[in-house]
Amino acid sequence: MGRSTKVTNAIRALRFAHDEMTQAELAERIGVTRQTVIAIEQGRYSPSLEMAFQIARALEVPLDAVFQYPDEAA
Amino acid sequence: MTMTERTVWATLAVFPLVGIVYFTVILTQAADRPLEEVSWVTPMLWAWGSLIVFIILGTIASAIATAIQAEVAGQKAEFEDGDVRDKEIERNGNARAYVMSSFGGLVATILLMLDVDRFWPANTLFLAGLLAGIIAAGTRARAYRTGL
Repeated sequence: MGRSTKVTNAIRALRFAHDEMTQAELAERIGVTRQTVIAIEQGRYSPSLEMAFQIARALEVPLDAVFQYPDEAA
Repeated sequence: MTMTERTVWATLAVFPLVGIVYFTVILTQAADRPLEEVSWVTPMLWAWGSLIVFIILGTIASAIATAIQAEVAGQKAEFEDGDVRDKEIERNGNARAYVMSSFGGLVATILLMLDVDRFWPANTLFLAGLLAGIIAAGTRARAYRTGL
């Protein structure tokens, strides 16, 4: 299954750094299914800006610590 | 896999199945008479009825499978109508199906203008409906697997 977006994220690492939060816990906090969290982590789904902020808030980090967009020149 | 995704897979199986059975019945009758003389109204009513019943049964089976999987994994089953991602995927599938439905409607209208036997526009619309259903479910199933 390939990535469908150039946006990368550090959700998995940040979950573990945040008291080993499970995908189900994160899903419940942001009001989506666990499958959606899995899809976001694997880059198969780009969340809306609002959901991105909710994820960052749930993980208690700034938005750009969660999501990154690679430089075109890189 | 959420219940919504399971239901999509069930729908993807039902549409081609009903279509194959319907057109097999029609073409079997057409073996010994012209297509325009084939009795298609009753088989088509059965086909639409079967489609509805099978989709309902597929949804029930999806709910049961979701509950069993959650029970085995010791998690809470997710029975809701789906979240924002499910709705985006559904919209995407419906948009593609709309193109097929519109095309089918256009072809059926042209056939009516040409005053051909009603067998042709009716079956064109039926085929377009089946293909639209397959496209919608196929697009959604693909989005669940590979992303939007």
